[in-house]
Amino acid sequence: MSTIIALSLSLCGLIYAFFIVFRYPAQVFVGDTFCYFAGMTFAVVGILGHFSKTLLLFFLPQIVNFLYSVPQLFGLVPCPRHRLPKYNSNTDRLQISTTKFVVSELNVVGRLIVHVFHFMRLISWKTDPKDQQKTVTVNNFTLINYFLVLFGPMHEGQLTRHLLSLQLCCSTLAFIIRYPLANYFYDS
Amino acid sequence: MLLYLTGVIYYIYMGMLAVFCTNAINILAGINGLEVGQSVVISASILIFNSIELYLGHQCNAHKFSIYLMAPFLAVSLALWQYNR
Repeated sequence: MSTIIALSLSLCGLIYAFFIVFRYPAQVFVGDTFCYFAGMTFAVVGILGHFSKTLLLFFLPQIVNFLYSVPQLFGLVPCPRHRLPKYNSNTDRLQISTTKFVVSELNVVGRLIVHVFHFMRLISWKTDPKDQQKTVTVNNFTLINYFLVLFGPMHEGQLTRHLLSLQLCCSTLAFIIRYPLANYFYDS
Repeated sequence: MLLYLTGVIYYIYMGMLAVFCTNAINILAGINGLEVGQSVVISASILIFNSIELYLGHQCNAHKFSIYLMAPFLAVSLALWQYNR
């Protein structure tokens, strides 16, 4: 009985949220606090619900973004304070934010990673032929910047929609991996 | 002895999972509605997964507990998303 009450109260909250009319863009901004709250809620639910591996499957875009960011996070490639895309007010679009370095000044691992990423076309690569030192300008290593490298500068709303549809596709993929494939491996 | 070791490793795994989840959402962030949007997608997926597992009869209490947390979270995130898109 109490479960029914709890579930229907939650459903009421859900329907109420849907009844709120679409407002103007971004009247409220979230910071780190929401990210920590959301992340901890997901982790708690995954651990206490005994489905942490499935939870990680739902986190695929986040995992990809983390792996792509590792060179900058661990200092192998110079990491600026802010890696968000730059806003161009003339065209009202977001462009990639970049970081500059000289390849020969990186350590061994950094040089290897940079060359592998460049070969696999995972980063944009700009050199100035007149520059003696051969500084290279690459995009910052985040998934958001990578989308802008792939698809060119775009409006912020459009970029958000692209990234959220990636999230949806990865969730669908997670369900496909979890159900048919898990049966094949665990065989129960 | 080996059983004890796997117990310790599981605790470490739990701790790392918690830290990973919070920071993973934090770095894929910064543009309008992205953090809240991804939380909406993930919590909706978790709810669907919980419902399927409840229907299949696996680990009922665990999945009921997860629904108790995820359903209000989804509602709150949806509300916040309207203001953050």
